[in-house]
Amino acid sequence: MSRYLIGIDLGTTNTVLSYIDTETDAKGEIKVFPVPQVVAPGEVAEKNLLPSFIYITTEQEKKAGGLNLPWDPFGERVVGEYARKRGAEVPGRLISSAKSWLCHKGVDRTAPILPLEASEDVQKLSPIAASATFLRHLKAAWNHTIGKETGQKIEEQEIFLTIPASFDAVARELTLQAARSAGLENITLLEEPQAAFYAWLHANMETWKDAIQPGDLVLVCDVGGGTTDFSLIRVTSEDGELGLKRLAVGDHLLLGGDNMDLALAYYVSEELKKKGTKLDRMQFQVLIHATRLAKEQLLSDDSLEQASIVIPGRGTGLVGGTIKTELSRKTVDDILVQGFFPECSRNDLPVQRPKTGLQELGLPYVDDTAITKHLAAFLATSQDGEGEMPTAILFNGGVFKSKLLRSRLFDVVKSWDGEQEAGLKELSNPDMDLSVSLGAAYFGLVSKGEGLKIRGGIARSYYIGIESSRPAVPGLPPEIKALCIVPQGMEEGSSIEVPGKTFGLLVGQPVEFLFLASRTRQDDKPGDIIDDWEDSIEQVSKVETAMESAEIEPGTMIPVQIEAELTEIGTLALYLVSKEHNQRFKLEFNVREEGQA
Amino acid sequence: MNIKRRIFWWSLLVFAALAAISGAVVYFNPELMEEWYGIALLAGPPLGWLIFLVAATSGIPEQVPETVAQPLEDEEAAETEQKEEEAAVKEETKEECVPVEVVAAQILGLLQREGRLIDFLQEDIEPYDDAQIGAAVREVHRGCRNALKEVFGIEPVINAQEGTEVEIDEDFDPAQIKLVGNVKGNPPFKGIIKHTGWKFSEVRLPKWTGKTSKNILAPAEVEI
Repeated sequence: MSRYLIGIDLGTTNTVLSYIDTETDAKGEIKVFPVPQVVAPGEVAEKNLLPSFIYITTEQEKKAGGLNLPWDPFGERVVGEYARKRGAEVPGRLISSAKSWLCHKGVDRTAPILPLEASEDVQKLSPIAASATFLRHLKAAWNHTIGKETGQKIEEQEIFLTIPASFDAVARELTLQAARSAGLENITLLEEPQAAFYAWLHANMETWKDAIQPGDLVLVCDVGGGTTDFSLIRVTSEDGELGLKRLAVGDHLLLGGDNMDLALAYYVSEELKKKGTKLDRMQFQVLIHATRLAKEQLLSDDSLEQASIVIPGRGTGLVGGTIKTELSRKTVDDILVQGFFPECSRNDLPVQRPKTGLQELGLPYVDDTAITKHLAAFLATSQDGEGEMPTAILFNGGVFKSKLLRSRLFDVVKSWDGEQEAGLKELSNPDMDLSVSLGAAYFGLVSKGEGLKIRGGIARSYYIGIESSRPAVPGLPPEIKALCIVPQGMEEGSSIEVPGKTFGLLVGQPVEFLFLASRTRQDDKPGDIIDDWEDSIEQVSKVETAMESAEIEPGTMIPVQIEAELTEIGTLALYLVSKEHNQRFKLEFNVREEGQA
Repeated sequence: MNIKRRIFWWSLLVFAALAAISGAVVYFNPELMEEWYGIALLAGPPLGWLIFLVAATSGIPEQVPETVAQPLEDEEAAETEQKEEEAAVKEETKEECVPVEVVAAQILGLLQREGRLIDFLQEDIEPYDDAQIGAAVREVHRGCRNALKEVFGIEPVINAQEGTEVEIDEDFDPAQIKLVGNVKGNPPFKGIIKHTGWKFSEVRLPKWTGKTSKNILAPAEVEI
């Protein structure tokens, strides 16, 4: 075991690193690592949150050297607080939401595409390289401080890196690749809602067994800056021992606190325009910030009917140029509460706009901003249609710092289950911003056997597409069937040989399969073939292998079976296995080719 | 730079040894000085050293050229890491003393950045009505307050309500507590707290990396 157990929350908008020092007296105490980062030219400060923004410096800035870090004499890319601020002024040099790009199936995630609309002299980064940039910053920062003091380099420690529960096998693999390219090899992946739950367990070490009982169904509702992520965790009892099992995870939803602030800011800016005040781009940036503050004021104080929004003059004339307006409670109610948390029935589904043929290349934001509807859809699809409602909710993410929004969502969920006598409980999150990374560090201890582990295995079932053998029909593509290779709930550290199906493959010929996944089909077993799958199974990417072997003559047809392995660190590996020749060919995820976005 | 210095010292050592030997030879056989090779023996080593130095170091540039210090690609990150670490060590030694101008610029710069304080104080506010000023002040207040909170741990000197009675010890520190009103005789005194005072418990100014101008509180902004 390494001396430090490190939890990293590689968030869409903020990155946090927490750690446990296993060699101090206060065992199990989790500390947040204050990350040194550029906050202004020539100034480096330590902050708990490292904003996940990359600013690509200009030649002049590089030459001036004000953005260098003690460990980075080049100042090519700035990460953190200054990157976020500076990037708002020069959007063509800013990379944001790198994580959302990492799981965007519609683009080549290994190609340098970010920033999307880059200035000409900007050297673009791939989503993987962008994610690696944050990890590299953390690595250098750690090695420069704690690493130097103790001689414990971060790459020698065990690192628990969190990912959205909604990340599929490919996005997980890419996250791992990003970590590797940053020089971090000793990585275990952990789902963010689980990490938040671990943080709760850690904060309530003595009392949690009183707070939840066997049979409880805990909904973890994580709305971060850019993404919304749901998970269901069941409290079980086996032989009198409490157990925890993650039952289901939600789809990847690009919807979060930033959308809310933006929606309010647009509204306010429209109101100003009606009054004859037009804001320029920089003023709009200030407006977003000012609106967020006004919103927080209104959300935290019920007695306020309105909060003032002030956009100071841009030039040195501060007072003279000040634009003043208000954000009313009604606006917050209409846009935020009704727009993002509308009351709805448990059968409501989020609205999907039909996609137009030509679409701007960009992130696949959700059409319907109603988080409550997405939640209803999640609960309806994730439990075999039994429709069991959660008995407890754990909120996570910056949005839920607002008590008003917490209780709003709480009430909506409560209204979905009329009969429940015990009622719905809220488990109080120790820290909406830091929980995920705290929980990830604590998971380090749990994985050593010092605490209760959430079981649950893999959240999706996986399939490969096979062509059915039937007479070719001109003009019709061959029918594709889905062969289940990985069942839901498959445990980490186990492997499965898919029974029944044997493929004849030509050695030396590259082969390619469609790689498919389903969140909702809980009962499929390996070897099952699903004919009609379009509704419940979606394409994730393609898998391919070159099937080259020194021992077998190219062109030979050999029988192979499929084997799937879920690694201890949380990634999925697929192999074509030839028993006869005692050979294994790894199937690689193809992320270069554009999948069906 | 390093290589050059090393060559210099090592060659000096070698040639000095040679010179010593030839010196010793001439010392013990003074008649050698009458022959040409005796003189050559003495003059050879120092001359040879000079020639060697010129020959050996002329190919080595004074400093690593700019192009070598180009920024890194992702794949090359590991290689450059070492270089970065070396640079980091150099950087470290520089950090020790920060000039007073820098501290002033940092604090004023922070208040300007977060709360536009310099803009506000430099502006002529006479022409504006109180409502307009009030609106702007809210922004200045919020920003500066956050900035202060972030950098200084500010707390009252006396942790009690203003207006309450307090006892002043015999050995009180006049720098911390200012006595006003009817002050006479020696402590202990009894008095009413009129102002709790302020102090900071810590200063968390960002580290200065020594790369920016000392007197810039806010750069001029030009939109391209």
